[in-house]
Formats: sequence, C-alpha cells, structure tokens
Amino acid sequence: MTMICGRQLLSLLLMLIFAQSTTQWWWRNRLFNEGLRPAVEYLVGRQLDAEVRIAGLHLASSRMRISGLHIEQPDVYRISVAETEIRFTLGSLWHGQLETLYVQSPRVEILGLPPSGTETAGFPMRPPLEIADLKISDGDLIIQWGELRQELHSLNIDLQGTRNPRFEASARLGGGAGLPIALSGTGTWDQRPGITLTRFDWDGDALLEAPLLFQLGSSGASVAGNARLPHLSRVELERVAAILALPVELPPDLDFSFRTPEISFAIRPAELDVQLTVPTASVRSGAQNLDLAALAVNLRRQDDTWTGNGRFTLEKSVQSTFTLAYIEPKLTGDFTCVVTDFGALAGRFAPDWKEQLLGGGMLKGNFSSESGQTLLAADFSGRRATKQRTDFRIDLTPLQARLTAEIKDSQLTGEGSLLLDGRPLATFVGSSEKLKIVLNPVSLAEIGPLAGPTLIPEFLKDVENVAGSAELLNDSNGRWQGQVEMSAARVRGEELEIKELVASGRFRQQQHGISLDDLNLGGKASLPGGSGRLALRGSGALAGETFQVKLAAVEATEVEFFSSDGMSGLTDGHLSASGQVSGNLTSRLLGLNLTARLGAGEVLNGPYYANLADSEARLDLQGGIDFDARKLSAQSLDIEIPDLVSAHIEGIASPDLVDFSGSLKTGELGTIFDHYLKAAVEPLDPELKELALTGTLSADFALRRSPDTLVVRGTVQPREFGLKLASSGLDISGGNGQLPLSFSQGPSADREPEEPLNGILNFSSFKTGPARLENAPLHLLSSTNRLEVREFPLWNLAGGKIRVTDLVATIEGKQPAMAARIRVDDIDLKTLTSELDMTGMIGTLSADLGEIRYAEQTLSSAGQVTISAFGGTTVISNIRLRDPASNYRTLLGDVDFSGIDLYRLTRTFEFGEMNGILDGHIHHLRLFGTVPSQFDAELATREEGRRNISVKALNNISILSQGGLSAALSRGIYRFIDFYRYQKIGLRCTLDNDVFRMQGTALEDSEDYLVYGGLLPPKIDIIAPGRDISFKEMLKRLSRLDRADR
Amino acid sequence: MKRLVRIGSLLTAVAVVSCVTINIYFPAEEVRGAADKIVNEVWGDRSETPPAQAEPKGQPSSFLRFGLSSAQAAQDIDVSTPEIRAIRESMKQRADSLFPYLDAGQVGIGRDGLLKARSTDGLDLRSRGEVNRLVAAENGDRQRLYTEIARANGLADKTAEIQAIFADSWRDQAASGWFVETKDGSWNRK
Repeated sequence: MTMICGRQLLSLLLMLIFAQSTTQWWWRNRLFNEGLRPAVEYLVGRQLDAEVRIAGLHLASSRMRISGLHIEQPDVYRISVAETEIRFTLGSLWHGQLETLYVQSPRVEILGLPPSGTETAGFPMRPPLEIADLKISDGDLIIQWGELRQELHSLNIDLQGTRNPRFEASARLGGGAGLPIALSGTGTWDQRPGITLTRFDWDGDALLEAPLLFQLGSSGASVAGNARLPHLSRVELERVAAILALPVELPPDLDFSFRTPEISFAIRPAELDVQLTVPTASVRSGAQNLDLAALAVNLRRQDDTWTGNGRFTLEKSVQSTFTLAYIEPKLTGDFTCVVTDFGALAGRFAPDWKEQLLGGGMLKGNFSSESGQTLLAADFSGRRATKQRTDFRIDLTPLQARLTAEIKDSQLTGEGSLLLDGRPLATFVGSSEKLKIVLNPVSLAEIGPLAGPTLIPEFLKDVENVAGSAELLNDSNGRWQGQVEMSAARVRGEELEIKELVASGRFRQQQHGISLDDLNLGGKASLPGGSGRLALRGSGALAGETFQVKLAAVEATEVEFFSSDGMSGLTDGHLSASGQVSGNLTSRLLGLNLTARLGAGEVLNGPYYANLADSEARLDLQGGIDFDARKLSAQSLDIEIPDLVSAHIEGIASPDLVDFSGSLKTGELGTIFDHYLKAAVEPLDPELKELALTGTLSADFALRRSPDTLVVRGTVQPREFGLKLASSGLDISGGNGQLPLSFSQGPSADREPEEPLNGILNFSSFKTGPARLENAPLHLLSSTNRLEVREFPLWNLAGGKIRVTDLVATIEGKQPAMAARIRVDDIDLKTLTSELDMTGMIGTLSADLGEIRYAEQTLSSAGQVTISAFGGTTVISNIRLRDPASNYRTLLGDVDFSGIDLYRLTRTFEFGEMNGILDGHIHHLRLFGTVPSQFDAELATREEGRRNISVKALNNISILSQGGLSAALSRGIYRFIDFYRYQKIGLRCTLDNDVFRMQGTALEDSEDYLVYGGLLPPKIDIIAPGRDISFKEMLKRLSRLDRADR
Repeated sequence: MKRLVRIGSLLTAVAVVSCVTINIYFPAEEVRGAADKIVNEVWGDRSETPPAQAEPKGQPSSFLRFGLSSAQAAQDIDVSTPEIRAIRESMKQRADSLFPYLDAGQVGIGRDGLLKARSTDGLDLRSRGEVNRLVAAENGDRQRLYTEIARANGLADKTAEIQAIFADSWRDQAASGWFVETKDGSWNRK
C-alpha cells in the first residue's frame, strides 16, 4: 500500500509542477484546494480503501504543507496528522527524493487487522521515495485490538540520510507518565527493508548487548539479536505489563528476581533459535524462597520441527536437564533431575525437614504428548548423601520408585511402585478419580535402613508383617473417600504387644475435614503380666484440628493381669464401653463421655482371693485428658457395683496431683461381707467366719495427693449398722450417725490447720461380752490424723461402771496410736465371774487405769487395777498388752496383794482349805495368752491369827513342790487328822526362760521350807524342791492338782 | 598449759577405756543346735537330714573381747518358752499345707531363711492366695521365733545372727527336690 501511494504521489507532484508552470501563481491555492485536493482524497482513499480527508493543501516554493490530514478505515486504523511539511526540489523529485518531511503531531490508531483476503504486493526492491531528513514530532501510536491496547506517546523520530539513514527515536510507552524508551540505529533498504538497532534504552537502561537486526522481506522477517536486562523482578514485570496493558496475572504470593537475564534469538523465515540464560535467580512464594542458578534454555525451530533442551540448578542441590522435541502433532521429551541432598532442598520449604531427610536421588524419565494424550514414565533411585548424619528421620538412599502415568481427555491414570533396596514395598494403581494402594507385608525392622533413629517410635519397632490396602475414590467435588484395611502379625513396644492386629475403616473427605465410618480395630494385647483381646467399633470425624470419635463398642475380653511376681491379679476380666471421644490435635485435649461395664472372674490381692464372676461394675465418665499436662479430669464419674457400692467422683488426676471428691454408698454390709469378704478373710482368722454385719455405710470424701502429701477428709455415715462376733462377745446394732475422718500424710500434714469436725454416733445396742454401753449419743471430734471422743457413755459391767474418757486415736508417722483414760468402779466380782463363767469370786473390782496408750503394737496403762476380794486388796500395775490383734497376745504387769484371807481364797478355788492372811506380789508377770511365761513371785502368810492347813492343801502344795503326794499323811494316825497347824507359809518362785524355781521362805534364814509346821505335834513341814524344774513340768503338776481336786 | 590439759585429758580417757571390759558373747553352737531341733520338729518326717545334736561348748564363742578376760559359763539355749512353743506348734501345723508347694517348687527357701513364692506354675488364683497367706504367716512366725529366742536368752540384739543360723538349718534340712536360693539370687534344686 505504501508503494502504491508513493507512485501516485510522485505523479501528482509532476502534475503539480506542470500546473505550477502552466498556471500562474494567482491560481495555485484555488487550484489545489478546489481541484486537486478532492482528487487526491479520492485517489488515495480508493487505493487505501479508506476514507481520506485533507483540510488544506498549501504549496509554496519547493515546499508543500498538508494540514488536517485524516485517513480512516473503519475498525482497522485511523490516522490523523495535524500538519505535514514536505520540502523538495524538482531535481530531487526527479530522482525520487524528498529533501525533508516533517510530520507534526501525527496520531495513528490501529483498531484491528485488515480484512482477510487483502493482498499485498510485498516490499519493492528499493524504497519508492527517499527522504533525506525525516522528522516526526510529538506523535501518538495507539494499538487497540480487542481488549489489548498499547499506547506510544511523545513519539519523536529523527531520521537522517537516504541510503543507510541513521535514526534516533524516543517515546513514552503506555498511558500516563509512561515508560521512557529510546532507540537509535540505522536503516537499510537493499533488496528489502531492514533496521539495525544499536541502542535500545528501556526506562533508562540499555538492553542491547549486541545490535538487533530486523530484516523484512517478501517471505517474512528475520530478526537476530542479543538482549540483556540488568534485573527483572515481579515489580518491574507488572509495571511493564501495566504500561503495555498486558493481562499478566501472577499468583499473589509469588515473587521472583532474575539477575542479568540474557536472551539471544535469531528469527528467520521458518527458523527460530532462542537461547535464554539466567545466571542467578530467586523465586519466592510466601515465606519460601528458591534460588536458581545456571538456567539455560535453548529452543530451536526448523520448519515444523521444534527441539529444545535446558538445564538449571536449584538450591545448589538439584541439577536438572531436559530435552524436548515437537513434531506436529507430537511432543516428546526426557528429563533428569539429580538431587544431592533432599534435606537441604526440603529445608528451604520447611526448616524442620532439613535435619530430618537424608540422602539424595536421581529422577529420570520421559514424556510424550500427542492428540490430547500425555504419557509420563519416571524412575527414582536414591543416592547416598555426601554428608552423613545420624539425627535424620528418613533416609531416601535405599528407596526406589517407578511411576507411569497417562493423561488423556483430562483424565489422569497411572501406576507405580515403591521399592526398598529392590524389594517391592508398596504399589499403587489408579486414576485421578480412583486409586488403589497396596502395602506389601513388611516388618518395620526391614525398613530400618529407611528410617532414622527417631522416625519409628520405640514401641512400634517390633511391628511384624504389617500389610494393608486402600481404595480411594475422588468424587465430582474433588474430594477423596475410600476404604482402608491394615493388619499386622505383631506390634510390640516397650511394654505393650498386640498380636493379630486388624484395622479397617472408611473415610470421606469433607469440606472442612474427614469423616471416618465403620472403624474396626481388633487384636490381642498383652502387657507385662497381663493380656486381653480388644475390639473396637466406631466412627469419627476430623475437622481441622478437632476430631470426634463415636465409640459404638469397645470390648476387652479374656483380660488377665498379674503383678510381676504373679501373686496378685485377676482373670477373665472384661470391659464393654461405648461413648464419645473428642479432642484437639493442637491443644492435645481429649474429651471423654463414656459408659462402661467391667468385671472380672477371679481376683487376687496378695492373700486376699475373691471370685467376682457374678459381679459387674457400671461406670459413667464425663471428663477429659490433657496430654501435655498428663492430666485426667472427671467432671462426673459414677461407679456402681450392684449390691456392693455406688460412688460419684469428681476431680483430676495427674502424676503430680490427684485431687478428687465424691460420695459413695454401700449395699447391705451383710451381703457384701458374705459375698465378697468372708472367703478372703476367713483363711486369715477363722473367727471372722462368724462375723455378721448389717446396715449400710455412706460417705462423703475428698482426696488430694501430691508427690509428698496425701490428704483424705470425709465423713462416714453408718445407717442401722450392726456387727456381731460371737467369739469375742461383740454385739453392736442400730448404729447411726456421722463419723468425720481427716488423714494427712507428708511434710505439709502439720502445716494445714483445719477446723475440727464434729460427729455423732448412736447405737441402739453396744455390747462386748458382759459389758454394755449405755444408750446415749457418742460425740466425736475429728481433726487431721486425730479422732477424739471426750467422753463415752458409761459402760455397765457387773453392777459397776466403766468410764472411758479422753479417747484420742491418732496416726503418728505411719503407725496408728491411741490413748484414753479408763476408770472402773464397783464391779461386783461375783456377778462378773458368773457372767464370764469363771470360778466365782466375791469382792469388788475398781481401777483407775490412767492413760491407756496404744503405740508400736502395745497397749499400755499408766494406772492400776485394784481388786478388793478375799478380804484383801490386789493391785495390778504396769499393765501392758503386746500384739493385741495377733494370736500371740502377751500381757505384762505387776501384781501386789495384801491381806488375802487364805480360807476364802482356798475355798473359792477348791485348793484345799487353809487359814491365814497372805501378803505378797507377782512381779514381771508375763502371760502368753493365759499361760505365764515369766514372773517373779513372793508370798507369805502373816505370823498371826489362826493358821490351819488342810490335808488336801498340804497334798497340793506337795504336788507343786515335790511333784507327788506324801504317803505319810495317809498312814497311821495322820489319816484321821484333817487339819494341821502351821507357823508360816512362805515361798519365792520365779519363772524365767522356761525354768521354774521355787524356794521356801517359811523359816527365816532358810530356803527349804515352804510350810513350816506348828509348834505342837504332829508338825508338818513341806520342803521346797532342791532343784529347778521346767515350766512344762510345773504345768503337769498343776494338771495333777486338778485331778487331786476331783 | 593448755597443752598439758589436753594431754592429761587424753591420758585419762585412755585409762578409763582400758579399764572397761566388754564381753560380747554369742552361743552360736547352742543356737545352731536349737535351730536344727526346731526345724526338724517343724518339718518332721519331711526333712531328710537328722537334727544335729547341739554339743555345748566349754568355752563360749567370743566375737570381740577387749581388756581383761572374763570367763562365761556354758549356756543352754532355751527354746521352750510358751511363746516359742506356740510358734513352733503354729509352724508345725502349717507345714503340711506348705509341703505341696515346696515339693512342686512354687515356694522356695530364701537365702535369709525365709520362704519365698518363687513360681506360679500350676497355681490357680486361689492357690496363689493360699501361697501368699502361708508364706506371709510362716515368715511372720519365723521372724517372731527368732525375736523370741533372742529375748528369752538375753540376746535381744542378736536376732540377725540367730536368723542367719536358722537360715542354714532351714536350707540344710530342706527335703530333696526343694528349691534353695543361692548367694547370687538364683535357685538350686536340692
């Protein structure tokens, strides 16, 4: 089009010259504007197929000005030039040259492509018109193709020369302030037009490393050059894009920086060579930053064949190369990616992973794409890391992987396998919508080379033959769901071992999480000393950090548990639980709402055995677990064991603190004892077999335990409590009231003063043997480790009273202690001995036992017992009872007596009548049960009053002293005498170390006479034995006394 | 002057100590004889070793003797106090219940002469409870026996020595097939 216009203009100029020469100066403007201008508009418009308007033509000497030029082809372009000045001479015109062409304020708007089918004649061999001086000033170029709009303003061009004109150009690219660009170079038009750019300043920066050559010809354009930017970043790109109105949309968190990118290209008809090199670059996405180096891409097109290759280094640890080829319609290529250190690479994304991954690897593969089908095959092979560490979690060195994938019609399918040192570990096959993964049976010990020392928890390292499979489906919303099954022959940790473990479940990816259905878990678990079979059914949901599990059923059966020595434990335990568990993965809080039934068959705790097969406990728990604080909290824990106890507990439990409170209520104590306790305690003390209990107990309590402190406080409330133990004569019934208790142990026990608590107990009947407690309230006062009863109701015993006051029961250290004051008044011995079915005695018994204390398994009295009987007084002091609760009870004390009427004494015990008054003592008396094992006794009759001794008494004394009867008293005249007189009876006897020693003290300065006869004949003396005898022998002699009585 | 006082004090203390005679006497042989007798009585026919007869020594065993010597009369060990007789009787009655467990090896004789539950093989829970109860009761009686022998014979501070001698007797008179604990804590079948 330009060449056509040039010829026409040349013809017009010749005509104008001719007109000028033929018409006179006077006619020139009228001729131009009224004659020539319409013709020019017509001719040019027809040639350009455009509407052409010229406001005015002004011809002067060798100069013509065109004002108001407007050319427009609707929807294709629009050109308006304010003023154009053309200078010429006839000579220059003759040679096809213009001296100057000044174009003032041109505005060119390109609105679209010319209609298809428009034929162009191509470029002429030479330019149709040479312009020696071309200046375009303050021009605008606007390209508006659809949404794309490019603007070039303040365009100034200064072109000098005709053959190889030099030009300088400047403009502002884009609207507004725009981006300044400046160009300079030379033009050529030899055979075809061409431009050689020697300078290209972009925003003040020189881009060109080498001249950029544009060559236009009839068959196309050739462009070759080498450009380099000092820097290219996202900000700069977006600025240019905005200026150029290019629709560049980058991810919001993506940033990049290319330093000194350089591009070399050569565009020739049907050929293209492009080389892009970037020495260094960094790409940042969010907080992640990747460094690229040595990026080089070569792209070549020859005819219809594209080939390319490239390489880059990522983070100094990934070296990648690739090749590709495109021959219509198929694209093929291969790639190799060598990673020297996966840890370093992963560390750029997550710093924690830098130390957790070890090893490198090579990914090698190829791909092809044709007719909407893309195939990909890749192999990965781990490589040993250059730097070895021991603190890694995963070592990729022994790992291999194979992957083949196909993308067809936007559908991805593929299969792959994961291998460990060449052994198949897992396979997967499927598509973007369905995937099946199979984990081949493997023991975790076998994947040891893959796992670092901390990857697999210690308790999982002995997992044997773990296998599994998963079928995953991707629904129309792009969410996954599927079925997962897993099994393991054995999972063993430090203490826990699970055999025959099976687990399965379905999962579904939700909008904000994952739901789990049909969860099943089962196996046989064992702990040191215990085992059981576990089964779990449930469902759950995971949403973000929170999860919720509904336990349809948790079953533990065949549970056995034994202590390390096997001497405590249970068998046939079972648990059935259901409920809901919810929690938060971040805060590691677990909420529990569980209901459970549990029971056991046989239970053994040391010597205590019970068969609880008929009992079952029900447990309702609402609480939570704080795993970080290792704390279990129970907002509500209800436990019920039918016929035994029901309890409600609230509180917390952690290794550092157990703090809970609650209440409990027992069933009928008689039922509990008969059903649960009798069998357990009977072997320990057969007498307990006869124990009978009635009533119930309820209690409110609070317990607080820290590592060094235990505090228990509460109140026990008996209801119609009764206890009967025939062997001890204990009979209690109708016990009601409140018994406050407070126990504290540890260094802080004394530092926690508390307000004493008052309690009260009432009994409708309280008897122990012949003693009966008066029916009156029993007031109690409880403080830490201390229970006080200021005053008991009076005990009634054999017409007398027993007053117990100031009873204080304490726990000193870990040993119980007790103290009380007991006073006994006016007990009638006749009544008492009768009630006790003892040999009847007459007299009274009174005692002020002072303070009775129980400590270190010994009950001791600071007071004494006074017995007024047989006309004299007997005082028992230093009373101590050791091991009162054992079968080896030992009573110790000192007995002093005086004024005992021997007649009344011997008649009472049928020893054989004697007269006289007896004084003496038994010191250091030690009674084992009822048998003396030690004493030091001395007794003697007073040498006053009537002193007779019967033959029976003489014989018994002989038996005791000699071991047998004296035959002399049954012979001769002696057989007719019933009584003999004596002067004195005196003896000293000791029992120590089972040796019984008896000496006579009846005669002064002699140890021989037990009985020293009277002055008148017949005189009877009884001589003390000359040797010690064993106490066993003494007991035999005592037994003979009994026989002698009969 | 101070130095003289110090030296004088030291000499005085040495002189006082030199004049004190401490006799520590322990009738080991007599206790051993008594132990053999009691063990034999408790285990009766089950013990294979006849009770060793205690042979009173003319001179007492003396662990330590300082200063002037002091002759001690030979001492018989009394093992017939009512307490000891009761304990022996209790142990004797319990023996029949213990024999099956000793024979089967579930109970063994420890180094200290006390019984130990060493195995639960073949025992149901009820039997284990019985073993616990029997062993605890037996050991309680044995400890009480040693304490009582020491008390009755004026050897209250020698309970540990008495227990050690009894431990030898329990082990020596254990029946064939019973388990006895060795010094290293392992068990040997006799």
